[in-house]
Amino acid sequence: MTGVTIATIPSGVPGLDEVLGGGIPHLSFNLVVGGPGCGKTTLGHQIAFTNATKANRALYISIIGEPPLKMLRYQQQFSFFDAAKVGEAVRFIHLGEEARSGGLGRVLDRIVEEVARTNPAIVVVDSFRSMMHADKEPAAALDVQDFIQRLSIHLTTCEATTFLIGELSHDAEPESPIFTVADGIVALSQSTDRNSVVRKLQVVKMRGQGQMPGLQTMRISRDGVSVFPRLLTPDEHVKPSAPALRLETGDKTLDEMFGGGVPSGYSVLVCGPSGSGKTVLSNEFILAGAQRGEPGIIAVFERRPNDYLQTTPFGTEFQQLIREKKLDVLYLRPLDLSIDETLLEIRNAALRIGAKRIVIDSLSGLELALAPTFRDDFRESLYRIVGALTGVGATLLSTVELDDSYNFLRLSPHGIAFLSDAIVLQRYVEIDSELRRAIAVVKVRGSEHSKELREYAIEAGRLKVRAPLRNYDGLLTGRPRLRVPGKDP
Amino acid sequence: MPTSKTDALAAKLVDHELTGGADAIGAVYEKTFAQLSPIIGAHGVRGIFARALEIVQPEQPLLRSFVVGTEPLRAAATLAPCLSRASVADARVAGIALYTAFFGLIVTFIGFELTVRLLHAAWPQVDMKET
Repeated sequence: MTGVTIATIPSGVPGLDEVLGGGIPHLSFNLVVGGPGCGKTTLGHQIAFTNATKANRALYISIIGEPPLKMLRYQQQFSFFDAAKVGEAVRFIHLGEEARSGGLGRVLDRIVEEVARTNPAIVVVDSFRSMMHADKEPAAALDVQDFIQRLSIHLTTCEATTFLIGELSHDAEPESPIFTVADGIVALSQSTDRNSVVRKLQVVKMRGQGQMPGLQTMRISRDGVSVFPRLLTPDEHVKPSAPALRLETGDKTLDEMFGGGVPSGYSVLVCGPSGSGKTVLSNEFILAGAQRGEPGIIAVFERRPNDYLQTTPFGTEFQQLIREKKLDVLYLRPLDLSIDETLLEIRNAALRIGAKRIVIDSLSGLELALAPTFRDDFRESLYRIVGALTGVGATLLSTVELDDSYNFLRLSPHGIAFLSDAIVLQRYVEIDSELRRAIAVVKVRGSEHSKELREYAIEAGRLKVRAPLRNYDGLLTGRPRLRVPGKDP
Repeated sequence: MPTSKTDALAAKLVDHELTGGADAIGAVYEKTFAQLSPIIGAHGVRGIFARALEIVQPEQPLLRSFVVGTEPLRAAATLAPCLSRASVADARVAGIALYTAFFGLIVTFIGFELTVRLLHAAWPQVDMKET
């Protein structure tokens, strides 16, 4: 037996269809719930304007709450609001007077009248919570349940996909029968942590579809609501052996230290103190790839792209590559980013230009750019970053600031070295009363690599790896000793 | 706030209604009410109209005795009788001032483009785009 196919309609909200399991089920009866300021009304408008045409109208019914004049005023600020659709494609109706004078019965009658008259494909009722407060008659709760039930049945038989918006919490009132009636429940929330606010969306229920479980972060911008689905691709990070394809770093000696270049698809961590040349190495890595036809992405968390392009020695080359769509420099510096938003932006850019090399400069800056609530899960977040970005077929190079401590060797302040397939260490060493730089390839998973500690210099903005520092012991302690010939231990 | 565009819109609609005689000056409100009350509520439209009158009354002696009705649909019912002793030209000036303030307030909230779009159905024969 072949079951009925449930068609879906797009939400018009970036990322939401993926979370819903493919879009909004046609003819479904949905609740959009959450506290004040969570974006419920904006979401309702975005869905209505996305789907409304003269043939498939949207009916937006406001009851008690935000004055409709102000609602129209504020919603116009969003790019999805199309004034040309107002009237014919999107029809607004205010039933405040009916709610006040005739209660729920009158409101229901008017909704039925309007639906019969306009035959809409989408109906948004904003908000049903206000109706619960509007009807103060005895047994009002029963009336509200009855109202919702009758509304659901009526709108379904009228072939409308419906959204009831309300300041209701599915956590606080899980026993509410309203939640049983609904085919879909989308819960919005926002939480404050120190000075940052993080918005989240959860598809609590979506009958007939395999929605993405858990809380997803979201943002409200001039384009309305955007959702950033959690990317969970840990399996893609596991690599049984080093791949045959090796990528050039831009310095031949460093390639040799890697055992023939960076294995393609690896996650490389470049750690070193401030000024050691981590950005120089990452830029060379991008440029070396571009010269071989491998597009790249640089996600900057510390400087603006223009500053970045002006200060990097390869600025002119990078600007040319950007014009040729072989390079994208992403500036991600707000202090309220979620890891999923960051990840999606980088991943989408990578997919857009077919990036083979991605640089995150730096993980220390990324951690600062995240809203405080996400910093607690930074290791888990990095795990997902590595999985998702190497999962698109790119090789990831991340820089991380290292404390210049000589008492112990820690390869990252986040304890994330184990997440990396390869690690490059940059250090300052004092030799003959001179501050010099040393580099080592600490790890290349599944591959032979050099164990040497080599001196390097930065000349004309390029990393030049030189001879091994063989004549010294204790370089990483900060107190190297010149080894006397013939007295090797 | 009133601009040359809202002023021109008010003039156009007042002139359109005045072809039916000075008594028809309240029709601009009634037609606007019919279009906007389903969207922003009957009391919302009446409230804006009452505020518009407050704004223009000091400058318009002919409107000083006009009182906005409490029943939203009939809020402008006494407008025409107030203007009945004036010449058509003077009634036109007062009417344009009142409706310029009225539309100006609506435009302040939802913008000129959306205001015209919502009003168009009431005056399909009036080319509002040219205002």
